[in-house]
Amino acid sequence: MLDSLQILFIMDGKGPYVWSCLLILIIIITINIIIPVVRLKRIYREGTLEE
Amino acid sequence: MTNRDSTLDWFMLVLRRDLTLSFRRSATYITPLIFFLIVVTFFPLALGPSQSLLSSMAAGIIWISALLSSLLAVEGIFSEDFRDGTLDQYFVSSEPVFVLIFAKVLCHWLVCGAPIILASVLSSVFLYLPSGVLFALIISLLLGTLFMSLLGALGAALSLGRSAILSAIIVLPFSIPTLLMGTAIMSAAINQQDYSGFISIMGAMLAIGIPGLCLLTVEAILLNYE
Amino acid sequence: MNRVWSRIKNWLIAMGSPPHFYRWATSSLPWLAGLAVIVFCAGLIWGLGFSPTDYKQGDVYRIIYIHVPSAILAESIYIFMAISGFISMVWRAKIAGMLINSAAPLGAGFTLIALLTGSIWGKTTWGTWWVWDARLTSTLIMFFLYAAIIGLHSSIENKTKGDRAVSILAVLGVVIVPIIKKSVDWWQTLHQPSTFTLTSSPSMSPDMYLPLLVCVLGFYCLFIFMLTNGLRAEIISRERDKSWVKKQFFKY
Repeated sequence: MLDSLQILFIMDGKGPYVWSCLLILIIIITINIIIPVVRLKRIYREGTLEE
Repeated sequence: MTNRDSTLDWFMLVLRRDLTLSFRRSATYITPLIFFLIVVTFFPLALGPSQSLLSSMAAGIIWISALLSSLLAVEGIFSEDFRDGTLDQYFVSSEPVFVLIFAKVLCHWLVCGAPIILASVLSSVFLYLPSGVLFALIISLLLGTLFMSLLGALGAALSLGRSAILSAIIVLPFSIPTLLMGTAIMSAAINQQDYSGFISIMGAMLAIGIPGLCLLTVEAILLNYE
Repeated sequence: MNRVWSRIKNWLIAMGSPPHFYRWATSSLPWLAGLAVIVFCAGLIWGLGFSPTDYKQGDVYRIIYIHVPSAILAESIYIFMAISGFISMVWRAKIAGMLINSAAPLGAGFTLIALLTGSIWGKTTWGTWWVWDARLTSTLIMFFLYAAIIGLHSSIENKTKGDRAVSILAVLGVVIVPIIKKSVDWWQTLHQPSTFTLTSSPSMSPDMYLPLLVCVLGFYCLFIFMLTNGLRAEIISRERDKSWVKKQFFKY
């Protein structure tokens, strides 16, 4: 089990390339999901503070 | 004006008015010309004076400089008329506005595009462009600068009253087909191949672009009246 | 048949109204998120972990499961934006303008992913980070178009005005994108022989192809979720002075 995971991560030395692609994907998608959430939160905070 | 006047008369009227205005103010046609020459001069300064290098890059250099300077020149095409209310008169008139807008763009092209083309002939000597391709250069720039004026008018209308760099960002990606077609004409001419196909494509782009882009420009100007 | 059609029409008209859409989005967001996560993860795990190794490129080819869906989305989001731009231009539907505005950053993001993963892939297979290949170039131009749209919208104070300005650009873009693609193809064949093409070998076996299909599907689901998520924030920030927002959101 651990061996096959090792193989998956290293991928004949090409692992870093593939996993960095995955990292880029996840980072950009997360940013795009978080921005609207933060925006909503801020509006909510401002709106409740006003009155 | 009586109602016998056709749309063409109005078109000619706007064209004549704009031409008169531009000739009275020499900055309109001098500035893009000087800008073009300065940009062209910068390339040998940056790349080195090697004759073979410059002559192989000449067409691209001239094209990029022509694109940039006609874009820069078209920036303020509507701002004066918007401020003094002339554009309002276009919109309240019963004539199709996009025809009048096209008259403005055409005037801009005549006033700014023609000096740039003359200057490009001059700079083709400085950049050691093979003299056999001069005709291709002129014809491709004729079509290309008109398309750039149309695109730039749309950019100017969208960024009316905002920064000039914004207009450039909007327009430049859309000008890529023109640039590629123009340089394709040039490299075909330099390799002594037939380039009439590329000219036809540029002509087709213009044929779609003149009504299409003018209509979009009208839509964009209307945004400023809300 | 007629009744089905009229119900669909009524549903679409109702979705065009911001409060109705907001309520629908809030209730369906968890479902969309769940679906997106399941399909997205299934595709990626299958593709990255369990699909067979390519005999020519080795394991690096697995980047295809990230790269190709992103590139497909980058293009379809642009077409989507152009359609909603057309709707907003012709029918002045409020929600269509907001759609463009919240889809543009997503499209730019996916284009960026496609570019970055493509250059990583290029580094391993071609040995350079960047090649002026026709596809790479047109994807880069695509990114500039997204940037132009985002820049124009953020520079206009009045948001409804910004929507209309951006929809003009989106409509122009959908006409010009095929021209750009075609001309870049020509340019590429003119200037340099196409030594590198990204087109994978035509004999792609089903156990490589199927995970890719699932990945594309997963990316689409993710896009729908992200779009709904972004649109909610957009609606609230635009309509924060309206009474329905005050009632529902701030509980006055």
